[in-house]
Amino acid sequence: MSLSRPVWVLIDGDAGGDTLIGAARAVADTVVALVIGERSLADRVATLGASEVRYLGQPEAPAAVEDYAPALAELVKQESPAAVLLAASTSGRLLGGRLAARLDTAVLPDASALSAEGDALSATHPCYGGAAAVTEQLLAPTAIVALNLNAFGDVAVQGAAAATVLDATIAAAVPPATVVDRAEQVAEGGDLASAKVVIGVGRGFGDDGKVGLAQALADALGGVLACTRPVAEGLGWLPRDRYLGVSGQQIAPDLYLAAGVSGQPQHMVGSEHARLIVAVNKDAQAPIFQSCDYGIVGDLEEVLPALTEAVKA
Amino acid sequence: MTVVVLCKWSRDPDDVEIGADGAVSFDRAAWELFEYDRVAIELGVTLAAGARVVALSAGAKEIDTTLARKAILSRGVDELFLVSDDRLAAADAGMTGAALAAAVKQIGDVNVVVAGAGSADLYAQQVGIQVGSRLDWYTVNEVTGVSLDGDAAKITRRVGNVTETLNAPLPVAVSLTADAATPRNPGMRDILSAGKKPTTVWSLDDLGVTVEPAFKPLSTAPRGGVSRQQTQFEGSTAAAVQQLVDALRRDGIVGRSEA
Repeated sequence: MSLSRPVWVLIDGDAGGDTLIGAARAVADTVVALVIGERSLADRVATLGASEVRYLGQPEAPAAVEDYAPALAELVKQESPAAVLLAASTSGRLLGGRLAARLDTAVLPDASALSAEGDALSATHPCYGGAAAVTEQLLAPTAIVALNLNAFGDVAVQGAAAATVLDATIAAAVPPATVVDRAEQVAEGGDLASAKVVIGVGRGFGDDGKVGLAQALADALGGVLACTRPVAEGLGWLPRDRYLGVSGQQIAPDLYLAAGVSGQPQHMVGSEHARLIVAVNKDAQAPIFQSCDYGIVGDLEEVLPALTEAVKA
Repeated sequence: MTVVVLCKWSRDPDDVEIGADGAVSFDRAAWELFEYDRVAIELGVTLAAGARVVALSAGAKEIDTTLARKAILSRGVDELFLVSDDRLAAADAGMTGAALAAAVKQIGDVNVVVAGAGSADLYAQQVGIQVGSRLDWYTVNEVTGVSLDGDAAKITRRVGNVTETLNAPLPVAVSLTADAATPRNPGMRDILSAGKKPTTVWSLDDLGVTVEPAFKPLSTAPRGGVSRQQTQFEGSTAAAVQQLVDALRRDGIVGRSEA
């Protein structure tokens, strides 16, 4: 069943536009992609399967994508789409939140699924630290939904005809703030978001001297390290940008191998879209053994070096 | 000049039980002031540096308990304001935001609203943004630090792998990251003085707020995530490891050529 009113999709970068449009196409007959950024981005978006592409413009510093909220709210009020979908990113949450407040509604956060029945749209999202999935009907005349793109998998539209790009410039509000400095942080230890293989370090390692065992395995598999929140924030064995979980990074590598990790939902949410999950833990009762594809109950100090050697063989 | 810190008194999600039929039980889940709320209070108190700093929370009437008041008031704030109304039970961020924004206006002379990264139980990461937007103030998220410079705030934030430093004229509403401050443990003096600090309780009617829910829950299910094979490799370390490597080879993880 498909919504008859259009669903709008907000795209401000190359990553994830195909997933947003694919997710929208699954619930609506008409998908309008609204593009903020360079004009060439709109041309690329035009091939992703939207019925219509509108180029809204590029924000001039110090304005950023979230400063389009007032003008977008006016557009929504004029045209009343069924929904506006955004990526659940820092800027998506900020733009979505500002937009939803102006429309006197709320963002449906971190959606992992969308469905439509007649003209009713519903979405599923996690609650209680990842322990529950709640499906809610979206009641606002225009629903604002932030999508967890990793959860949607491969929904990109195949073989779509290119849409025409319409110039539909709107004005970004001028923020009162000035940017004093902007610095790009280089991820030490390799980029976590794009790594195909990730080795997770949990408290089971005992002390940071043993973290080298995980690094050796990561090196052998061409991967990078991640960890649980206590390892990063409490123990400080790894930097804060390495922890996976509800409030940390969420990744979808080919392999996530977690050693010394008990498998609490708040952590496992960070890797649940990995293609394969492997657990190594000396506690046979650790919850992680229910959330993995392959598990070894054993001492990581024996298993990891043995695994590193076997992989290199 | 007043700093308002938003906080939530909620159940510890670690002990919430979800039945196979979706029934949610809080029986074993203790009420708590979640760590990210404590981070927000710590940052707010430090930011105020002696100026008035108050805590503000909203929820159903069950949040208004002696335990909640003491937990919040023992952390360095001068006063507590509660919007206590059963219409806020299971409120979405729009409803909570509307209630809190009205309360901020009622408190008066507020220059900064500080919100935590997200609540323990729902983690929507939206309430701070909703409050700031409904007040029509400069509102940003993923804030790692705030300091005051006359009538402006210096704000650092993280957007992806970029760290920004901004100067914004007051008033501002900031939603913090989980690590923006390290909450201190209340000392005996803080705990004892908590009982002497005032709490003001408002209903939605007191604030003239009407709220419409954005969502209607249809179903709840325990979340197992993606279903997994749950295969365990047993035997000696060598045997188990060999089986694992064989499986990873079959799955194309080991023995792949690195592009």
